[in-house]
Amino acid sequence: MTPFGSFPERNIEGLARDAGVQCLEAAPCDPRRVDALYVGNFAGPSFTGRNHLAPWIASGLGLEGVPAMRVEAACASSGAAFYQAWAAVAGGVHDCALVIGVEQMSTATTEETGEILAAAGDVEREAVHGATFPALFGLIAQRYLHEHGLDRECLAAVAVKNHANGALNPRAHMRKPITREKALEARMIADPLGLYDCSLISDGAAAILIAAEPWTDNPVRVRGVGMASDRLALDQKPDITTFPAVRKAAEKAYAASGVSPTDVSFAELHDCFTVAELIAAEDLGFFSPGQAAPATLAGETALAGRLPINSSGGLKSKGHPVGATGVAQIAECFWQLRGEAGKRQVADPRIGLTQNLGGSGATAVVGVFSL
Amino acid sequence: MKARVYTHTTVHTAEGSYQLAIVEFPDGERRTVRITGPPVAIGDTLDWPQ
Repeated sequence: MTPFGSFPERNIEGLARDAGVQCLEAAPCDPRRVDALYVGNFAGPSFTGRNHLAPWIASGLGLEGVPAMRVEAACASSGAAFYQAWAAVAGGVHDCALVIGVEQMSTATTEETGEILAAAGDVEREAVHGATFPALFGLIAQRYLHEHGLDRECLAAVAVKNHANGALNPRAHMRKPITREKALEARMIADPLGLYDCSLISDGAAAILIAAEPWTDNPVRVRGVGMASDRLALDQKPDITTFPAVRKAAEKAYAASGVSPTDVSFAELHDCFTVAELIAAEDLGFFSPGQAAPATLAGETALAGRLPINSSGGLKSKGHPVGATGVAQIAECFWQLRGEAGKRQVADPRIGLTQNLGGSGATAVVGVFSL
Repeated sequence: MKARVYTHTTVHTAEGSYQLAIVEFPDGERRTVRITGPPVAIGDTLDWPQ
């Protein structure tokens, strides 16, 4: 995985290649053993003016000739690429698939970025009225706080926790702890969401190998995967304080793995906005509706808590190069399970879970992993 | 026709701020709208032109 940050001088192929080379060398894996490349990328053509990314990246990695394809599912693009690769390997189509998630966003202005991201929502029902993604999650957060009788303290608690974790992650975009006061006093973006409730606009790439047979002494096993979809527009959902696609994807992943929510030791959740982490933690069955907030305030999801969430710093602090996020979550899970997460290592990491969200909940991918 | 505010947010940009809401109609349909009048809160009832 490359560091996440702002790298406008790079090109998207170079970022992807760096992550791919690191992954192949760390495995270690001869590139000739790789028989497919899946690239998760949301908006490379819009951000960089380049299209047909997968064969470009394959050539740079010396993988000429393999099937190479780009998978797009908004912020869940590389989660979806992982899902495709896992299905192909599990189904016997490929023996060893390389999955790379990549995005380069610093090439666009903040305004341009907002427009590109908004296209992942329902343009006719939402974006046309000025509903950017911070606005959509502001609408979600307002309703969530209202229904559960909460205030912004619980959102700030998520931000403070994830920034504390990200400060320990050498690959994080923003390695800066923040205080509760700083989070609460930050300028408003889309109320009740302030600046520190929003994830970062980042560049970066991450890569993983999925193989039918292990060739290392301590491989990480994919215990179960689930993917599901839902309507794009918030106003077409009966309840915007839950993500049905996450619930469905989780049901599939839990059923396939034989794991229940209480078995999970740690999780990497899609905190594109602080409220999204709380809702995901409830949809995944870690907490009942409305209870993720008090649990977070009580420190239960902190690095030393009973269920560490976003040890990497999450999208909030590690950064959110949209197409790279799903694979980066799995990379963190890999390091945690193998005890290689350094200062942010969680205690007793038996089973890890990742949850990658696309749009305002229209795509979800959940993975369950163990040694 | 009346519409009830299901949720709302005020978006702050360099050019100014504006309020968005999801409103719910008596038949259960919801729409995302931009609020052009005074700020609204959850549960407020709005007059909606037929």
